[in-house]
Amino acid sequence: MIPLPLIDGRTLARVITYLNKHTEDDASDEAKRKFDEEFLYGMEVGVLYDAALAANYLDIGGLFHEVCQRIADGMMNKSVEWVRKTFHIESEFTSEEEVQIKKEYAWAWEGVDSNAD
Amino acid sequence: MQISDEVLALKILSRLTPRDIASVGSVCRRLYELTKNEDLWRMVCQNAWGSETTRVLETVPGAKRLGWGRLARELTTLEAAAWRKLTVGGAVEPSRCNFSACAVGNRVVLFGGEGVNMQPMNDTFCVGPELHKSRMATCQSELSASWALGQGLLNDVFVLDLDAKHPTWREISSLAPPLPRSWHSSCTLDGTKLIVSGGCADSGVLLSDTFLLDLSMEKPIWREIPVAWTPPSRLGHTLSVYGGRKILMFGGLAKSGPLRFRSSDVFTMDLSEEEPCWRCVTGSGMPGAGNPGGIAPPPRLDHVAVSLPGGRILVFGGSVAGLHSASQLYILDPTEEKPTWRILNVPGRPPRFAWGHSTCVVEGPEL
Repeated sequence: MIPLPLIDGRTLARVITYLNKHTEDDASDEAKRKFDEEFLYGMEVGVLYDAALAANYLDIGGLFHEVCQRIADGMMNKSVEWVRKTFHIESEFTSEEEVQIKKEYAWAWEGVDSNAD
Repeated sequence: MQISDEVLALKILSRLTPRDIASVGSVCRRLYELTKNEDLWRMVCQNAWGSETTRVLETVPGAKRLGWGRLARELTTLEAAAWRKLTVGGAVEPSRCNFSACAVGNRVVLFGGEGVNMQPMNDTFCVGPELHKSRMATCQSELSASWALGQGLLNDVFVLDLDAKHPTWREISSLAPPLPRSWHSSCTLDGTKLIVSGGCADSGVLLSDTFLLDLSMEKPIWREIPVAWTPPSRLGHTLSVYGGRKILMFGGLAKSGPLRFRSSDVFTMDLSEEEPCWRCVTGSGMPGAGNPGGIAPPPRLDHVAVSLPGGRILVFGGSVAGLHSASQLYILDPTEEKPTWRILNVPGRPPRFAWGHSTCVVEGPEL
C-alpha cells in the first residue's frame, strides 16, 4: 500500500477513473477523447484544479494538459474575488497595495466603449 | 504539491485573454509577480492575436521598448489611439485613384483603379501609438487618391516591397485576371494572397464576385471563389481580414433592384472552410439584414476598415448620407456571440477629408 496523503479520496478516485480508461488495451484515441470530454464536462473549476494538482504531482501529462485547458476556459471573465475563492487564495496585499494594483490593472475591466455591455 | 510558476504560466495563464491576465494580477502577490513576466505576456498575445500578428509586431521598432505587457494593454484598450498627421513621399505612375491597397506581409499591393488628372492629396493620417513613422517615410511611393474622372479601368497588379533597400513599384503578371474594375475592395490573407471583391465594371455594372490571387506562386493565377449566394453587388465597400482566414465585408453603395443605396451591412466569409460561403452578421433582430446590433455607423461608401489585433474591425470615414459625421470611429468584433457596433472616442483632430482615399496597416497598429 502506497499512502498519498496530499490527495483527497474523491480527487484520487477521479484520477483512477481517468487512468483506467487511458490504459485500456482496446481503447482508441477517439474513444479516449470522447471519454475525456464526457468525464470532465461540467466539472467545477475548483474540482478541476484539485485534479490538476494531483495530475501534476503524479506526473500524468495527458490529464494535466486537458484539465489545465478547461481551467483556463473556466477562468475567463471572472472577478478577482471569484479567483480567490475558487483557488483558495489569500491576498496578502496591504490596503494601500490593493488600491494601487487595482488602479494599475483597472484596464482589465474598463475599455473605450461608450456604450457598456 | 504546488504547480510551479513556469507551468502555471505556460499551461493555464497563457490561455487567458489580456484583460483576464490584468484581472488575475490583482489576486495575490504571486500572481501579480507572474503578470510582470514578459514571456507570459508574449504567449498571451500570441494566443489572443495569432502568431502572424505577433511576428509582425516583433519587427516593429519601438515595440521592444514598450514590451509585450504594455502592447497587450494598448492594443486591447486602444487608449493610446490619437489622430496624428504623417507625410509619405514619392509617386505612383500612372497616377491613379479609387484603387485599393493593402498589405501583403511587408509588401503593399495595388490593384486596378482609374486614371486621374486631378491633384492627389499627398498627406496620410494615422491612428495608433507612434511605432513606425520612420518606416512609412522611407517608402518611395504614395498611397493617396482623389476624385474619379474615368480614363479607363484597370486590372493590373503592382507590388511594393517595403523591405527592399529602395522600395519601388513592380508590376505582377498574372493569369486569368478578373474583370477590370474600380471602387472594388481587397484584402490580403496569410500575407501572400490577395482577395478582390465587387466594384464597378467598365459597363457600369456593379459586381459581386470574389477572386483570389496567390502571390507566393511562381506564376500567380486568379481564381474565382464559387459561392451559392452573394451579398447584393456593390462598390466602395471594404474587405477586412480577421481571425486568420476570415474576411468581413462592410458598407459600400449596394444594388437594390434598379437603385443603389449606401449600406452599413456586414457580411463574413470563412476561407478556411471547404466551401466558403457569405454569411450575414445579424444582431439587430431584423430578418435577412446584415446589421449587427449596437450603434451602427451611418451607411457609407469609400470608407476605411482596418483589422485590429484580436479580430476587431475599425471603421472610419467615407461618403456618408445626410449630415452624419464621417470622422467618428466605429469598432466591431465579429467574433462575439452577438456582434455589436461600438463608438471609439479618440482625442486629437481627425482628418478634414475622409473619403476617396485608401489606407492599410503595413505593420503594427497604425491606420
